[in-house]
Amino acid sequence: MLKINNVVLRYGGIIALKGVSLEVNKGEIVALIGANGAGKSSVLKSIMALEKISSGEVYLDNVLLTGLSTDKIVNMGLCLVPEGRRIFTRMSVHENLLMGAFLRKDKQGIQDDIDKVLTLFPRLKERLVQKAGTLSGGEQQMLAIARGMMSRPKYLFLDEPSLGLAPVLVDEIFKIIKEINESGTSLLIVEQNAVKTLKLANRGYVVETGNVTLSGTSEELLSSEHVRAAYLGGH
Amino acid sequence: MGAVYALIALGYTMVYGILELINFAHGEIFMMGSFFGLLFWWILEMTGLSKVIPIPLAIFLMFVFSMIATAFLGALLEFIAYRPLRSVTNRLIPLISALGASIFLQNFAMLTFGSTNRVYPAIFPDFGWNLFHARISLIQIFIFVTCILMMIGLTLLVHKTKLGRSMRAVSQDYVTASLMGIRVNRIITITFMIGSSLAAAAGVMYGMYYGVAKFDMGYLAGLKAFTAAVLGGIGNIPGAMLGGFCLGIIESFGAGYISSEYKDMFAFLMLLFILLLRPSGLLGQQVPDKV
Repeated sequence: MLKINNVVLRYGGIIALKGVSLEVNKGEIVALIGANGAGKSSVLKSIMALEKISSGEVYLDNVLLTGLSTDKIVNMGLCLVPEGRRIFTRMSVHENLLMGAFLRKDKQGIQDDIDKVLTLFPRLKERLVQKAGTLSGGEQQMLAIARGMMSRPKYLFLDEPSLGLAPVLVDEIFKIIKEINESGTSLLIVEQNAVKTLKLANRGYVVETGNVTLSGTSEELLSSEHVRAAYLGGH
Repeated sequence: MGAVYALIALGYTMVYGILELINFAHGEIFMMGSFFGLLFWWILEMTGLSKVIPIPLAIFLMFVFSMIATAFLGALLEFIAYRPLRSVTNRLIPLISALGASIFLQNFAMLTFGSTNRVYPAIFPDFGWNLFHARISLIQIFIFVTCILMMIGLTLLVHKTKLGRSMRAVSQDYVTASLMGIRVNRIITITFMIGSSLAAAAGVMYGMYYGVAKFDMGYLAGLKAFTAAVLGGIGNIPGAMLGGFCLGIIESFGAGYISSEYKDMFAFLMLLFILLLRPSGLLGQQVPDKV
């Protein structure tokens, strides 16, 4: 279980997270929803130690992660697919996948996993030797997720996986996220697309100006008056 | 000499590629490399070994000693002068630190090795062939071949190995590279070490070719190598190689057909023209990164 306890994060004088607590159980899909700038991405960055938190702790199966460097956290089985894809545009698709498996030594296992993600993302297979920068936005997002899977994470964090994608591609990505979860990976998804994400997730948290203001199962949140008014709009 | 510029330029370009920092102390690293080679020769002479071991082996060991010592100097430079400033957003500040490190190393060399020319051993057999109207000496061929071999080695390292792949990843996006589990600081240190050892090799070759090493030799050589790096497109490894060779050729032709007194001027005239006409360099990035 991944447990985040009372995390406070400051950027200079601004407090981005004012004591956020949440947890992700093994095998779950958890959604983190909220408006732009509410602090959703900051939660993920705090877990991965990309930002140094002021107080609070992050535990993975009761092991304290706070204070460890990013590479050690990756090594413990956590992986973040960052917002805006952040693929290595000047490397080939194949090299990007290899980068995802950077910490692994099992050559055969890496090759098997490359084959596996390529069956999950057949579009990438056709473009394996192409420079990643030449891919379309949707393909780049697929590559970013595929790269994330290459480290065989126990917990995979997706930051805005549907951002800027056509609706048909969003459906495709969400279908694949479901498949990744069914193969045993726990997921924490940050999204503005609240309805779709909650429908996919088991549970969710609503983040508003650096606080978790609401949490519950997806059904509870989908039917909550507050959530409906704030995030679900006319849906 | 073009090949030597290319070797030094590689250090500039590799560091810039990763940190977007012009390491202005790189010329001094080259100078220290030359002195480390000389130091090793002095040790050989003092112990009497210089008469015992065969010359090719002595030359080889000079290179090895100088490259290793300078690699550590480069790592130390990064640790002291640049790492503490990594989080500073103002790009001017590491640049000033680089200039400071450059002045420090120059003065350190002046105090340690003296302010006059130090004679490099003439261990390389003076041997040459006449080809058309030019004379090509053995040492020129040796320098050219060694530089080419080192560049091939570097290219293979960068494109075919896991270390090279992680260096490229860090240079493209170091935050994401850390998310892959790469220890970014370690890669930066290794990059400085590789760049410095190439400069050291260049320094030893320069010393052998001109027969001297001097505390301020890094200034002009560094500036020219920087020109070569900009000419090829800074941050671009094949660009630095191409830039170095172009610079060497232009200089030689300029010296031969116009005047050798203006030799140094051609290099900087070229820098000026590149910056005006094609700031991204000959092989500069032309494919914009998609967001």
